[in-house]
Amino acid sequence: MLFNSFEYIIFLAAAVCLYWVMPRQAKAIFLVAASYFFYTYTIKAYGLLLLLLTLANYLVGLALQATNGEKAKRLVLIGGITLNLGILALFKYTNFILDSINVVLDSINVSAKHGCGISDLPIILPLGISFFVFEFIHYLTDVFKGSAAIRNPVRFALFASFFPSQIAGPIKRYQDFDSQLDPLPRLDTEKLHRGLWLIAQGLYKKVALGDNLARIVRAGFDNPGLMGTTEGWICALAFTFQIYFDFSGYTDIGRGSAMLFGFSLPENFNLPYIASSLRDFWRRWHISLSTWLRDYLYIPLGGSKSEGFRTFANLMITMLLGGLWHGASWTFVIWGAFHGLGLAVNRRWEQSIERSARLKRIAASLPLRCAAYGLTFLTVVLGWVIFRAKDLPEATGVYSAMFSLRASSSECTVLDFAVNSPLPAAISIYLILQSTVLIWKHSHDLNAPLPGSMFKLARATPPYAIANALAFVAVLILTLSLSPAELQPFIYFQF
Amino acid sequence: MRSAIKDIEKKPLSEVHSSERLGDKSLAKPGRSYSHRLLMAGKSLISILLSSVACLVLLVALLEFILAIFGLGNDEYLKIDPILGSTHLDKKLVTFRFEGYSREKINKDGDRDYERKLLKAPGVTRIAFLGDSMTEAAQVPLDCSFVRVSERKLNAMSAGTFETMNFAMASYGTVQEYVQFLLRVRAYKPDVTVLVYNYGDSGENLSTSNEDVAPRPLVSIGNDGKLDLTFDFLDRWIALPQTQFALKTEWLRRHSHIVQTLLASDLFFRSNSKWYSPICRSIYSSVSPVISWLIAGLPEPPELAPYYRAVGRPAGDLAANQAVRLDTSRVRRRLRAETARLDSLIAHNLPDNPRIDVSQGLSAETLAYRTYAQMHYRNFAATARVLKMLNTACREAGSQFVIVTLPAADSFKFYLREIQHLKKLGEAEGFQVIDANESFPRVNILEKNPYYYGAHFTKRGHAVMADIISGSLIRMLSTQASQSR
Repeated sequence: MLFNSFEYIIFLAAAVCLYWVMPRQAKAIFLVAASYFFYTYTIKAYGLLLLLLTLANYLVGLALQATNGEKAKRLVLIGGITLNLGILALFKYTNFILDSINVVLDSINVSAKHGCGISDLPIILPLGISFFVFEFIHYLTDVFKGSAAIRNPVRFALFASFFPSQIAGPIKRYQDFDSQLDPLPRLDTEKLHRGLWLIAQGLYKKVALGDNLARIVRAGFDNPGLMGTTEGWICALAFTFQIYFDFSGYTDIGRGSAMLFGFSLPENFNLPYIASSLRDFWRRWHISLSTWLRDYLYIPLGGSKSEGFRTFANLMITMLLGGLWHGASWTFVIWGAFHGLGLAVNRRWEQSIERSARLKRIAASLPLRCAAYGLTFLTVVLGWVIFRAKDLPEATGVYSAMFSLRASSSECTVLDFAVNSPLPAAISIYLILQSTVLIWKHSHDLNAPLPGSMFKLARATPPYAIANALAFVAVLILTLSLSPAELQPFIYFQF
Repeated sequence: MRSAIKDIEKKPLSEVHSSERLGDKSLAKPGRSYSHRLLMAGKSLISILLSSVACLVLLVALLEFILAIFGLGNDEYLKIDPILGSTHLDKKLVTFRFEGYSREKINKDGDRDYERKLLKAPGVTRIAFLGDSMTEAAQVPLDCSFVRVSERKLNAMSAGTFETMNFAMASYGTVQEYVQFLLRVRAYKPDVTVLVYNYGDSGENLSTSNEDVAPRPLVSIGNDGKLDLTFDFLDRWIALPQTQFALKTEWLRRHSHIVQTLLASDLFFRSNSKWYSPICRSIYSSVSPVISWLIAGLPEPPELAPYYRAVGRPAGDLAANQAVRLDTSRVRRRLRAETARLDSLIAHNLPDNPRIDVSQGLSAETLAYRTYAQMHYRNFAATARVLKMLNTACREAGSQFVIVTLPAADSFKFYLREIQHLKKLGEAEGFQVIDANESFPRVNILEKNPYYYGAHFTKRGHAVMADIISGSLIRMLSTQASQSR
């Protein structure tokens, strides 16, 4: 079920209403049932996969807790992680491996000579598998390290299947989530308001901005040979913002949906494109994944404890696997390597600054700080090109358009989609709405004695709630008026 | 009672009881009479209702303003018509964003074209285009449609002055195009009338009980072999709840950006939901009377069509409005009489019946194919008759009739057969068939097609079509000019 679909709106409204009228004892079971309904809405069989994985990880978690002795515990952990990674590899990487073997066989003419080419298996990637497998690995690792396992199977099932974060994260930490179940959240109108606004904001980001940008991106990436330099850059920038609005829009809808049930999910974005360095970017972009990679891959590998090549290798391994996590394709591997290299250079530069007072002074100067923001953004944009391309020739085509100083073909529709579309209006309205919210937040201190208390009083009255609900509907109508023709699935659904 | 309210108003905010702050002042004073508390509760309820209505009005006004400023919510462009089924909402700014993108104003005559004069300037060759959504070209800006590009090309290629006019409308079939010519086009005295023929057109003309067919006048062929124009199907459609809803909301569909947005989005995000249709149907049937009551005091919808301006404006319900009914039946009678006259003028010979190869025996597939082929043949036979009548009407109006066949996939065998029939028909009846299907570039099915967005032409597709049409028209007109010399 897509978050931006008619079905989801009906499903969410019904689930929220039923949840709050339900006896407290039944709420968790109801949420698990609703989550399974959500997950199996399109393909029923994957519900069984999720159920079996949940059961297996629940039992492994209990076994880890019950096992004494470091060696035995470690064996159980390795078994659990292997199971999870094995399932992920089977569904996500089998065809990638087969394709790669075929390429090698082709290159040495073996398949042609002996007719031993391997055909792809008919595997459909289960939605959200990369996300819930990472959550299971985190759970098992933390239980191994001494955190208490979840004993209640319903609570564990809810952690594993909670629908607002099931398909594309944020990747939850079980301690944060489970603590919210004890006791179960009470109805909080403030959270309901915030949840609704997050959903409205997420839908706007996804439908009005992301989906309109998608048309420019598709026009460019489908025909890179037609693009000139300007179109090449427009296309790359369009994807840079499309992926942000698409993914952060999804996260907003997920977090907003969770809030309607009284739950809080972790933040996943913090204005990533104003990062001052690549390291800073990864602290702001897909925060739940980058912290997972840090805690469960980079640090176990040794992190930056040792200097020189070892740290560089740790960074590269972490980012290469981070890239591969996004998708079974060499473009993602290259994207990961690109970021790993960038982070290594970034780290080296920071170490040099630390050692030299003169460099530190220069780096703190305004022009260099501005250059740092610009360079980081440029690096991220260049990285997104390879991330978006379906293969290397497509990426090369877009890079070549960006850097070749050429004019576009008359058949190129990139500029056409940028200008003749609802996009300019969508961007203008977004900027106006965001500025209004910022000004409103700054001018209304809710704790201030007089205007603040008046504001609180106003908030307690039904007309405020009605005005709030109407404003929510107004943003939805604005979103609808700006939506393009095609309903686009979320980019991160494919991961 | 008033003093009680004033007492509360005079108190500092910190001393006001929480229930008073929440508006339920009566509950804060225990000991008051029940009726007094009821009255106070009623008052606070009224104040809540009033402020809610004020919020709603303010918000609607603000949203309408924002949508208007940014040019959003101009999606509606269809008007219910008791003769043609549907026409454009005249003088309406329309943003088309569901395949390609355009933002254009429908002209005052209700066509997706520039404003034009009824009287032709001396020395101008007028070319009228009839067709469906492919010719209407809502997916691209007006200037990029093949009708407009053809005009520019024709003027660039010859010394004469050409004026093209677009009378096309999405979903139109041959009978609608024929009626459109009789009702409106011939009044403009076009020198050439181009009917842009599309795959599937022949299946939209014969009387049917299939409710999925778009609303339109149809033809039926009686046992005596006579062709009749019939409006039964259209009348049934007009009585449906969703049609009544569209009729009653015409003012809102024309002026309210919010309503247009909601309707264009089918009330929710577009999806192929199985829940969607039943929910929408129930919304249409339950909301329609309410909307009708709500907009009763608003200005009446603009004229339905120029041909019944004389009888005044209808009140929104075509089926119920006596004046419209009378005038509609007068127009329909006139059209049926003219159809009977034209039908009597044409020869009733039919195109060749497609032969089914039975040498291998009649398998289930062959039988199914034969049934389908027979149905298709029947449809095309009726369509061919309408085309002959249209050709005769054009000749009588001093206009030269031309058919342009739109491109379609090579696998559409029936369409290819139809084109062959049309060419034979053209030779026999003296009109030209421009086979754009033959000339249009073929794209491998796995390649990106630069000529189509999905079902309709891109700007590039329109440019290619304009090349084909203008080239053929120039050749045709210059040949005729040299013959007449």
